[in-house]
Amino acid sequence: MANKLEIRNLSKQYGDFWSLSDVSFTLEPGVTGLLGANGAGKSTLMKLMTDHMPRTKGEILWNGKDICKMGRKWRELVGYTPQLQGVYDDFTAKRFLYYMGVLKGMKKKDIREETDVMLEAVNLTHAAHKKIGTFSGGMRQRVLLASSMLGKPQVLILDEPTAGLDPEERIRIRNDIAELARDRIVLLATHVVSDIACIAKNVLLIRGGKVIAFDTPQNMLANAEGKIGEFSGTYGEIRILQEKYPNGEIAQRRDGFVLRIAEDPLPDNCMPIFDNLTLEDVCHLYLKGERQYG
Amino acid sequence: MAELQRLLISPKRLILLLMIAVVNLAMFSGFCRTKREEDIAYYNSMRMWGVNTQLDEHKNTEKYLKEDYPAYLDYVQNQSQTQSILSSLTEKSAYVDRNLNLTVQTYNKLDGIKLRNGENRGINAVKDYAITDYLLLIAPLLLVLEMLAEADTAVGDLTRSTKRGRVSLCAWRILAVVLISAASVLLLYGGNILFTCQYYGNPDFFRAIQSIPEFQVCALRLNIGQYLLAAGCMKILALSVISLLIWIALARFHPIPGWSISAGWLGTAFLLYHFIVPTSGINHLKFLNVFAALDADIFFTQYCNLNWFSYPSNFLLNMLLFCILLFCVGSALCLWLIGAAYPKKLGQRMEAAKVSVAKFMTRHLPVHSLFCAEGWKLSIAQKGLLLLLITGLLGFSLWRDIHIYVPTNDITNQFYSQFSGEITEEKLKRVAYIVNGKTKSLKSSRIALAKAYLNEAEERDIATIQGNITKTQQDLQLYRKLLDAMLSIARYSRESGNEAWFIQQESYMILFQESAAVRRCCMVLLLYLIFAFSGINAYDNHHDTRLLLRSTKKGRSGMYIAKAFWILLLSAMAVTGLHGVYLIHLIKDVGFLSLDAPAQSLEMFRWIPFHSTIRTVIVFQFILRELVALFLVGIICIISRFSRTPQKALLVSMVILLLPSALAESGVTQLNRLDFVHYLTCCLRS
Repeated sequence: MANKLEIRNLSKQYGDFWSLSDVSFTLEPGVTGLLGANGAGKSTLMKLMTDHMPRTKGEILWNGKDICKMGRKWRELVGYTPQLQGVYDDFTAKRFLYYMGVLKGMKKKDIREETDVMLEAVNLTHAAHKKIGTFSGGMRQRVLLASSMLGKPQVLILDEPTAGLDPEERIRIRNDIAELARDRIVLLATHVVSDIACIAKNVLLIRGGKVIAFDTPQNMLANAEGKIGEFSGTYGEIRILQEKYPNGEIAQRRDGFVLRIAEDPLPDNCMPIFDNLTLEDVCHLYLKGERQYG
Repeated sequence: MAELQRLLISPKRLILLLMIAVVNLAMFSGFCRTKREEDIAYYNSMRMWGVNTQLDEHKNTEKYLKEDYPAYLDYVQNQSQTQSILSSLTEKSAYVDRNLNLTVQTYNKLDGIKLRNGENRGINAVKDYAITDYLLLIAPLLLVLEMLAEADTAVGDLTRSTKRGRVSLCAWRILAVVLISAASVLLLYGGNILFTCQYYGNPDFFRAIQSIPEFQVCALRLNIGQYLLAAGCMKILALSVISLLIWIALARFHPIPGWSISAGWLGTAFLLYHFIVPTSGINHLKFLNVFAALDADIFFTQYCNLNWFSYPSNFLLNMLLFCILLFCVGSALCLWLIGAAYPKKLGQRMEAAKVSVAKFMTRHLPVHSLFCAEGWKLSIAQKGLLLLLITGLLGFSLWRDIHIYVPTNDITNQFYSQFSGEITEEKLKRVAYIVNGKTKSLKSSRIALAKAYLNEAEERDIATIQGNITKTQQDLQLYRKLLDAMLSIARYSRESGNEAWFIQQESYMILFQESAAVRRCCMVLLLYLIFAFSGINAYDNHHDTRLLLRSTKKGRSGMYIAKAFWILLLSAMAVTGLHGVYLIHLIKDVGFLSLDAPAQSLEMFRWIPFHSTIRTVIVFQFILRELVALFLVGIICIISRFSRTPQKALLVSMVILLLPSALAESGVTQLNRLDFVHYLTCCLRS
């Protein structure tokens, strides 16, 4: 039987503010992309899933068992990459991975073997013995990613793991994540929508602490059809139109300028787009304003 | 100007300066108190021999002021005349002649100098306390390191891209280094002077410096205030030179070659200063030295002319010229190499070596257990091992100059060597026999004196008999006192049923009383605890790893248990090490101990209801100290948990734990309840 992580009516309140409100969904093996604007509650959701903070109400069940009650056993199953690049500058990459392996309760032999494999996977073998303090942002991110994958966790919770990576590295890491997700649950939060578009089995959209959509990327794209359109014109005309549609995206084409907007229904003089729709458009459509999915 | 404000008037910098001043004051006041306790013990010890050292010292000072110093000036004058006669008779040595002439000329300026008696101990203490000189280095060096770290970041690139971000900015920063050096000297050195004024009394700053016997050879016409000012200025100059040159070395050869160059230069200068004798042919290396300038006092307590191609030249003038030249060259190099030239990053050259070291360490110290991993974090990443080493060295150096006197004399020592231990009937009889013998001897001496008077004997014989009588009386008094003490202990044993031995109470009192020496030791211990454990949680906060650690299997209780083990281990090592050295020092100086004697043998432990030995009490005291240390570490850990960086945790811990103790040590009695050093001593007698 495949593993299952169920989130039921999960809520988190800070004072009078509900950071998460009645969130429910179920994760199964494969990559689930988590999209949401800043402050939508993505990091709070991840912190609750790693049992870093108490929840106000709701449940998180791993194969039917509450993760809070599982305690260490749950954390043994989880690999986590936090949003902040929290690594020790005075440690070398290898020593940091050893340390994380120890904290994950791995065996001596496994730590040694897996550390080398992970360093290879994130392309850091050449810098294994250099201090992390001398690393660039991308390299630090890769160290964190390697640490989260140590110990072959069943659930990977990755908060913006590709931030700061160059395009080549991003593709490489993305492919690694896709490979890992074949038999484990991966929750991937990112602002780089194209990362999710390529590998995600499901996408979870969060707005204002509430889940507004949990669907496959294909369904989401199909749902957006007829709601994405473009205005064409000179730069001056497009600038005037943008004042009306401030969330519209200006693009330069061979024959002039276009303003791409996400509206339901589209204005009369706006040309609907059916080809080349992206998850970016879906985000434009649902993550801003009050629009409901469906 | 804005740069000066940013660098100097930041709350962080001011707090840091204040904290260094507090630590210095605490250590210095401990030093003064220890000296005073030593003096008192010495006076008491000598008084048992009938010698009043206080009176003798006073007489000696009076003699120095009225006779010795004028005689010294005459001697210098006569030396010149003698040498001129000798030179006319023998082959002429040009340098010796010139040197004597210069010496006489220099001392001639002191003609008519008026010396006055006054309080000298404070000035001597300020002069003798060398640790302040090294603490002075902290603030300017930290400023330099901060500026270097900033240059490596994007802020460094940003400032260099602005119109006044190179030479002009560098010039302001040089000024900041000088000002921070001045502030350090003012706070630390000034703090020491103020403390001595309060502790020993006003030294009368308008007296000629030569009024203090230690400054007899000083050839400058200065009063004490002028001497302190001049020494302070020399220290500022030395600090500025050291900081500037280290700044250049680290900026151009960053980091390991830079540190190696700096350490090599400072180490060599230190060794040359301390090991070359002033009369050596290469004394130039001793006096033309930044450590000589930092010490400064050597130029006021010694007199020397340097031989430059057979021409003598005053050592103070030479040193001043040397330091000013170094400062000018250093400033120019700074402006050129740090301000104008392109920044040079040579750190990459050492990269291969660093990687090899890291590889070696990972292979041989792979750290596969949580306990070892946390140990690595605490002792290597957070420099805990280095701190332990420094504390150890500091602990040893604390005791090096401390001598413990027990008020005792040969008769007492002899008595104790014969009769200490369990009190038996036989021992009591023997003592009673000695007392009877002394009584009889006294009686016969008195008869002999009476006869001598009757027979009109010679005065010399009468004086001898009188001397014998006085001596016998003193001995008898002492023996009676000791016999009474033996009887009292025997009575206590009989009445209470507890075993008690006859032992030298005074020695053990030193062991269990809160002396200034023990307080100094505990001050070092508290400093170690603060420095070693301030980062224990703040280190994780600083690197934003808390979230990551908590998401792992052992990142919660397991990790904290491992940390607790290390706290226990390191604090126990520090407590045992520091107090152990004290105990060994005490055993060496005092020469006791009957550690197996029942604790009740000492009056202060008569309240203990069960049988225990002095050894047990010492062990108990050690355990108690460890527990208090652990309690204090607990407070430090809580502070560390809520601090964003280890530095903040360090500062807050110092303010909460060290400041009240330092102020209490300096005489603010209102803070006695918050004197954590006092609790850390765990002394059963204050």
